[in-house]
Amino acid sequence: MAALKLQLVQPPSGLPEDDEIKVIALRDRRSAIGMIVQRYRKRLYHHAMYILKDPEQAFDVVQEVFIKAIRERRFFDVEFKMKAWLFRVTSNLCFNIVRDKRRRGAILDTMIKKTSSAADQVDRVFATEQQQVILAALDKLSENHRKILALRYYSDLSYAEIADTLDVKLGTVMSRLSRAKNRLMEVLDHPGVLEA
Amino acid sequence: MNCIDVRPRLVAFQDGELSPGEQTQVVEHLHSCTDCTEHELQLAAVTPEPFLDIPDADLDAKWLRLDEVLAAELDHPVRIPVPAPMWLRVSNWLSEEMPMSTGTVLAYAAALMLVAMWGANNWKTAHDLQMAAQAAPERPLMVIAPSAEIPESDFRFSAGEEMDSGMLQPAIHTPEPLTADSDER
Repeated sequence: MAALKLQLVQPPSGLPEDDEIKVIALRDRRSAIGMIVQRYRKRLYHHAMYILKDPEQAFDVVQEVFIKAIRERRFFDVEFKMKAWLFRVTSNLCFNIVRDKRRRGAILDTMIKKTSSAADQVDRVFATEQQQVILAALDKLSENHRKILALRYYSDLSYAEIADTLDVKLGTVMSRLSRAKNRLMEVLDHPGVLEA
Repeated sequence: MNCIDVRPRLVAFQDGELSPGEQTQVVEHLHSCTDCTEHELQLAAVTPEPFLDIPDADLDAKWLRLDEVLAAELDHPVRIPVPAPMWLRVSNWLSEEMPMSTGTVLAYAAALMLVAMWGANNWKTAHDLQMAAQAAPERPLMVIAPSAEIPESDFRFSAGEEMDSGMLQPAIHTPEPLTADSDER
């Protein structure tokens, strides 16, 4: 018998909340997985796109994240924070790729060219030129600052959700975001830093 | 609140993440402080905005691929190996590292255990004796008389041997057989 697909292409109508999905998972884990994928695939894809600026790599990351979610036995446990887990794993996988790229960046010119063209493609989705400048400036920040800014402003997570995702206290989220944004302002005020 | 208190809270203020009380205090400070107001405006200007919908023509094809991959994963899940218990890992390590059969290893282990038990038993015996000696009342030690006090006449040569200074032996006092000669003495 042919395997049942998850039917992910059709946009969902009235997707249940995370807690409701956990209840569904008790009797039908497969359907619950399908709902989670439909609920988060686009947000995770955008999150990965922001960091990687490469549609194919972003898709590969999203795919890996969901495979890890399927293999994670605790995923539908009552106390398990699915959203925070999904964004944390996505961020970590993306920054692993970024670090790897940086290590090999000086050698592989072709990859740099590819990344640049992909970055251009991503730039076009921003409404204003200022946002493109901000995106470029974000690349000059530390990984921690980029991560927290992406979670807050591109993936629209609340401070509490960011705290869960990064496994830090709420006060740390507040102070780190403040420092990140002030640092971003400094970088934008001194364009020379962008050339560094 | 003064400027030092307000500055670190400006980002959270913009994000609507302050408590109502803090929010009110920040607003009051901003009304009275032009520096902080200007700083707040500068921060607002560099706030990243979320992506617009990414015009990815292949997105539906990607979701189809994702559908297939995840369905395959659900149909044929890859078994994640559970960490083996310590005894099994030690056993595996022994079987890999030592060119001996399990029976031989067990025999060695049993022998080792027997030796250990024998050693423990000996130690216990020695320990018990020591404790008993400590518990018993003190008695004078038996002193063996130094050889100088043994009269020289108590030493004699063994029969049939030549005299050698190192061959002095204590005399063995055995009763002499009763003979006619002895009676005469």
